[in-house]
Amino acid sequence: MKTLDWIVLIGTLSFIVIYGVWKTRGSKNIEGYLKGDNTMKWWTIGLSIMATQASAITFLSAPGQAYDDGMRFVQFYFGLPIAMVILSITVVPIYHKLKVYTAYEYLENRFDLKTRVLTAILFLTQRGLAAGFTIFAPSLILSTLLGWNIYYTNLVIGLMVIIYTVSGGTKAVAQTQKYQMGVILLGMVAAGILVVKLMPENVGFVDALEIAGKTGRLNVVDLEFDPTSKYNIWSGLIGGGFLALSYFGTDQSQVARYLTGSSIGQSRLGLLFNGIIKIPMQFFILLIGALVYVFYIFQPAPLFFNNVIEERTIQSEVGAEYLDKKERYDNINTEKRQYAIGYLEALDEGNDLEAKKKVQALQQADKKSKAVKKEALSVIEKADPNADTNDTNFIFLTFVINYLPAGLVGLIIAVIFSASMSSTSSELNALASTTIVDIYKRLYKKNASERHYLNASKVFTMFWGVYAILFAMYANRLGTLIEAVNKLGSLVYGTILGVFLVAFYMKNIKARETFIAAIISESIILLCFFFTDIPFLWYNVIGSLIVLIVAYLLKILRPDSNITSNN
Amino acid sequence: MKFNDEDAGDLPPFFKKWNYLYAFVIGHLIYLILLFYLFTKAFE
Repeated sequence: MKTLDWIVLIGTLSFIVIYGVWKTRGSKNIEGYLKGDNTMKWWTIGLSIMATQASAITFLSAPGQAYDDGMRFVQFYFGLPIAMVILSITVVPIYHKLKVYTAYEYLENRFDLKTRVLTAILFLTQRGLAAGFTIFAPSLILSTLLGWNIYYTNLVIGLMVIIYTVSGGTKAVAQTQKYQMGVILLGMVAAGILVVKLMPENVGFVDALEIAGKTGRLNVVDLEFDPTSKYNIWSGLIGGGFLALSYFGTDQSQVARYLTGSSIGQSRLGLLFNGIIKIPMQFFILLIGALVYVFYIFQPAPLFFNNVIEERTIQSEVGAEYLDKKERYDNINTEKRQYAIGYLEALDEGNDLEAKKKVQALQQADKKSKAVKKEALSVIEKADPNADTNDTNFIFLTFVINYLPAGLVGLIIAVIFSASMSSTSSELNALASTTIVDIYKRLYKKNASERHYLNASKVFTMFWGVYAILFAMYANRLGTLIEAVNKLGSLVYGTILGVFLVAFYMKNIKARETFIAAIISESIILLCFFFTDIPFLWYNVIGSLIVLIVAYLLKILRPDSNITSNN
Repeated sequence: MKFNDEDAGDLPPFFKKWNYLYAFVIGHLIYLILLFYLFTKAFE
């Protein structure tokens, strides 16, 4: 990084931290600290919701995914607007009217204390680990590509978030997220413009789209119903909608964002704003990845974008084998370049037959390059069976570092930091809210002063911040166990969603049935985890369905279930 | 599921009723899917 990059990076991040602390100083009670005094307008809520969802990995991974696999990932978000409408109609009015601080507080109102505490603890377990990972994941990529010390990177991200989140609470999270989203959008638009500008002179934006489309990178919508395909319109509308419903309706890190609304209407508008903007934003980020793919047809493309692992493979005993693959890959890329240029020339001349021939050759070459890459990945695995052979997250940043001008590199790194900080701050804020409201205030210290709860909220925010940093530090030593940590999150999410679905939509089912169903669901999910090969993403669906079915069966089998337990 | 405007005075600034705004969000989704489909086909 050049001096100008450092100035842009440090200047941007310092402004956000200082602004966050200054603008939101002086909260006097926990209502102000945890709910922002219910003063937020819809545009702040909407940006805050988007900033919370979009972690650093979103901006690092999505362009890489489009580079490798095309833009079909955008379909994953097709269910989100539907979920926003459902939540606006059903959930937002309930939360607002009950004036809850957390989503789990509602469950005591609807069911009983033990259901509230169970879901709160499940949330704290899952989100506590995720907060550490939100810091660790971008640190790992930045430290790999820029040679930074991963521990210092973790520490810097974590401490900056702690400073303004502890100081200003929910208001600081929302206010800083507005500017973080501004930095993110500015950086991504600049990267999008630059990738087109950096193409060869005779390759314009539409030409780049032609090449991206013909090589399968603009596969935005797939109408075919194929359960084995990860992303198509049906999995997006159904699976994506299901996931969005659970994430935005029951995860406190999102619920807290729209609980800050000055009215039901402002909270609804914030969610609907997200429902309108999210898909075009994701489309644009993926489009950048597709354009980066075209850019690398005209430039020497790395065979593997994680240079540390690549270098390690080259130095190993299978180094010669890897270099052989690399040479083949480079040769195929040269072929691809010639076919792409030939295709564009044929298009200009209006020679359809020649254009068709060149496209077929280009597609064949693309298939060959994918096959060679696959072979190269097996060589990497041969060199180190524990090596991470997924380089998707490194593609976009490699392009940024190697080709963007000074200043813009700093801005894009600021985008990564901002995205990481915005997600982490929401998580710390939500973890602290749940700890103080659902556990500490409800179970241990029921009648303390406002000042006491305010100070306790700050202490818990600090605690979760330090916990996240320590986890991020330790995560580096976990290696492939990181995936196990992600799995752990999926172990609890389905049960939480199931409990909320019963609460919202099965009004005749009471506390006892729901609590037993939640315990059974969690036990079955744990059995699935330890004794089956079911992919962990399915745990969300299985867990929630078990809660719904078991609660319903218990209701039928126990006619006396109208008697709820008292606390 | 109830579609109502219980919160009188808290109507959306862009449409007269919440139901119209919800319809707009869903309509926008359909429009985007259609647009993306045409985009996919145009460059396929």
